[in-house]
Amino acid sequence: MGGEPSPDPQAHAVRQDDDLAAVEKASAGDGDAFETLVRRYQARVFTLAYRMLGDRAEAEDMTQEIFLKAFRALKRFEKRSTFATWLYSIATNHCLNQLESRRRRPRLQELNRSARKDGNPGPLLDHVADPTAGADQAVERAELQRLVQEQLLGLTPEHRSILVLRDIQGLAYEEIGEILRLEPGTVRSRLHRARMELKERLKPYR
Amino acid sequence: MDCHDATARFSDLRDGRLSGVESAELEGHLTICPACRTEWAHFQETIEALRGMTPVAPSPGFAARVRAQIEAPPWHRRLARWLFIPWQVKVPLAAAALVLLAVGTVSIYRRTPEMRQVVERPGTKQAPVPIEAERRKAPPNLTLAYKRAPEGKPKRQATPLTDSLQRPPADEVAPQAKGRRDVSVGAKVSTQRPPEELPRAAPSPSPAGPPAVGREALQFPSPPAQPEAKPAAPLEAEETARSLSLLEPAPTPQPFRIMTLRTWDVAGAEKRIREWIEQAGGRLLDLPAGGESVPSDQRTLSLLVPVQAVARLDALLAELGQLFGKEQEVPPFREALISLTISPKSPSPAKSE
Repeated sequence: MGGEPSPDPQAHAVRQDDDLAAVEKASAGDGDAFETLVRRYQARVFTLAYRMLGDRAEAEDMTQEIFLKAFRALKRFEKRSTFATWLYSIATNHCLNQLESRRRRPRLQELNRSARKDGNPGPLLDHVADPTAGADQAVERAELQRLVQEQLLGLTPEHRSILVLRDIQGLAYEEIGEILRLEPGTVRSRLHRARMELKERLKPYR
Repeated sequence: MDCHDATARFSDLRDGRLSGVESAELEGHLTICPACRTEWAHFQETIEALRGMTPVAPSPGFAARVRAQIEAPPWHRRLARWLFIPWQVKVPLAAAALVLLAVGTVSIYRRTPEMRQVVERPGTKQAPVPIEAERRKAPPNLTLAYKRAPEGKPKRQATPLTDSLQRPPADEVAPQAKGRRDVSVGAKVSTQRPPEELPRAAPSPSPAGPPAVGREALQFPSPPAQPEAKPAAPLEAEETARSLSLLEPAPTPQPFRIMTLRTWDVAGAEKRIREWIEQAGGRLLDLPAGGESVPSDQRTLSLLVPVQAVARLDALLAELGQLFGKEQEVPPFREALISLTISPKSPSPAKSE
């Protein structure tokens, strides 16, 4: 997958070939091939869902649905984009739909948010990660992540999704344009507005 | 370049999307403008914070769970798989299922008079569920219930119910009904008022004649013990029974037709009826009488009569004495259940006609 930390182009091409081969086999009913694809992309899709939705259990359900949906749609994958972009497209749309349906049920969203505000740091502390960092640093980092996630969830789904795709997932502008079906100029302007808004939201915590 | 232009280009600068000249211009502004420098620092921090978000992973075994889901065979494959089960297993299974289905269907059919009504004469009668619902809502006041009855009740076309609803004698009915909580089998007809005297709104289209039974004169026998022998009562009788039993927790299903024969010779009449019913292809049901005890000079018979023979039975009974209740509609089944009470015409019976 493209993106800012631009990978080695050769490795990128090999990955794409691998994906296409697995897609072919999977669409012919090969369960192993599809499981390979799931393993390869599950963390990225789950991260996208989790950052978009802010709830681990919901994100896992979404991720499962996204892969099932992708599996059913494999035969319609036309290879005009990479498999990764195609999968991201399904994932992002699924999450945006979920946010939309959640918007119609605001009570649930409120419950989620109030749970986080009640001092429950949510699942972000689950993966304090870097074992080389000191305990204080790890806590600080987890706190920062919690804060960023909270502010991210305060953005509109459009701004949130573009930040997740660009700054968390590291996708290229062109890929984002494909996934969100936006013109390059719109990707650029929307991304800038989203970043500026998040910056303003984080200001009180600096 | 002013501050506004500078901040508007932060994203492009960050992502390396500015030309060399534009970059130099923006960086020049940042060196001389502390406010924009601070903003730029915050902007960079924001993006770094996003990039530093730890990737998260679903719970262990996620891929296997997804795979299990996609490999759950679709319904047509499951069906195909079932079709290839060896016949030694499949046939008994299928047979057992069929038997269960048949038994269930018959049992439901027999226990649901509404269903029988619908099956045997579709479109002409409505299941009496709304009546039941209304009865439950109705206050334990018969007069009120009667007055309310026509409102909100679905219009039944030319059914005995409509007929009965249009009849006013609620006030006459009420006192008797109020005082009588037990509507039971085998009860005799006590006060007789010829049905002809009852006000009647519209004649019933039923071939069995208008269902203008003297409701207030009747005390209904209680249900027969065998459930299969008591299919749905006609709406007329059912409604009447329900109206009369408003004070009861649950209505008891009624025979189709309740008639009373007043005759000089109870025993002779019974004999004639017994003979006739055998010839007519009907039969006498051995139903125990419940509720009140039957006086010794009376007989109560439960007759199951082929529906075509009901008119002949009416004629026979009319010959034997004074008959009440023949106006009740016979429901559209092959056989009609008739509860007939034969009572002496005078205190000193045993005179032949």
